[in-house]
Amino acid sequence: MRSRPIIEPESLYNLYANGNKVGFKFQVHQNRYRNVPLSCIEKITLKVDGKEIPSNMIHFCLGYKKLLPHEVADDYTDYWAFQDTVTIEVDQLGGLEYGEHEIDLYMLGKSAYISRPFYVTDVVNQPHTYPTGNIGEKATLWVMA
Amino acid sequence: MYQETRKGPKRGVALYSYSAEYGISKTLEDCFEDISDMGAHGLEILANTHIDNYPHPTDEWVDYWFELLDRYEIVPVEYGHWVDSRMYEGRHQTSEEAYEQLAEDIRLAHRLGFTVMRTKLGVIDRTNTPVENWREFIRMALPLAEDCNVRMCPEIHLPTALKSKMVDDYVEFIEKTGTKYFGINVDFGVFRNNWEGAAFRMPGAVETKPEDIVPLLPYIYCCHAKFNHMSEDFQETTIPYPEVLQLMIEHNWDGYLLSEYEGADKYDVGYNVGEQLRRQHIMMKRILGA
Repeated sequence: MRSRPIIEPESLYNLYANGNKVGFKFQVHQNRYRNVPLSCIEKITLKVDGKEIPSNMIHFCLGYKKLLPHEVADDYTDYWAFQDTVTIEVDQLGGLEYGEHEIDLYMLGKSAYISRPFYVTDVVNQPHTYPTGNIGEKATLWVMA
Repeated sequence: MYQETRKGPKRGVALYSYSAEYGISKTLEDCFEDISDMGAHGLEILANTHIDNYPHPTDEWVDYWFELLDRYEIVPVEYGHWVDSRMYEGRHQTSEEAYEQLAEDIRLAHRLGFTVMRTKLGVIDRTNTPVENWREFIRMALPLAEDCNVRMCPEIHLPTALKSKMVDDYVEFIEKTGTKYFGINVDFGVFRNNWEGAAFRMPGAVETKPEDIVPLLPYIYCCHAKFNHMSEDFQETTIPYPEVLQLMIEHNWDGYLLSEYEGADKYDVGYNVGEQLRRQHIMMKRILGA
């Protein structure tokens, strides 16, 4: 909905534990014009280089919270503010090879106050989907380290 | 100089207009500077977007807020906020939950100097019918709103018309309670009479005639001066501004018109809303005389 990139460029890094690559992370902005209740993010899916990442390997990190996708939908206390940057961490032994990777992130959202999505009809009677709370983007990023 | 002491419709800007730029190419101060530069003095914010660390800004941020208001001679008019009725799975907020959210916003609006709130109620259908318990939680909040001197105002927005059951219900509530702390905000999109170039037309949208605003003026505490396209000769090509504003002047309405740009290109990469805003303010200044 907004014009800034959702996936922050130059934010893809491997995660290390005891000198070994154990995963990777990247940063994400939301694209709404208001904050988003975490409970309104109903589903999170992630493909890296075309391969689906299992849901239990994905962590949504906001402030001190580190949540699995289904825990995000069950969180009725926190909001993803417009200014907040969320870090997506992925458990993956070996991390990512140095170089370019395609990140395809999709978050299925719902509105906290309106009963959408719904179809509206334009002036020439073509159906359009009204903007929903979905947040997603496909981006190609370099592993920075 | 501030327009605050002048009676009648006054010019302001809703920060929503800067949606393609705020946080990307413009800071809060850049927006204030731009508003000041076009001779406008009223401001609407979206609380959870434009207040750092909402709903608990630091004292330092609040000091900064008042510094900006002073520096750019801006009046904090309307505080945009939501009642997030649908954030729970399978149920709506209870009246107590809605009241708690509302009360937090009323206190924060007051702390930041606002006197009107655009209270976006949760809705239950495609025609923006508010949740069934709205009367209950609004009634619960009225004493606090009075203590804090802020008016809660749902926005009348397409596809709702000014002649509608929803507006009748709000007016009935105001008259029954006798309150001055609940009213309405009219979004000028309701007057749209030209849909050329529109991506879509909202289903069920019934055109509101300019004169339909007259009986509602006592309940309107501010307006969204919605605009979709300003021509090079300073005409809004989709909404009959001269007719609407002339009626408001003739009937001695006093309050702020807060510009809200809704053009199809508003989120385009690199879009700068400043020129469209300035054209609209030239048009309004010619009609209002200030």
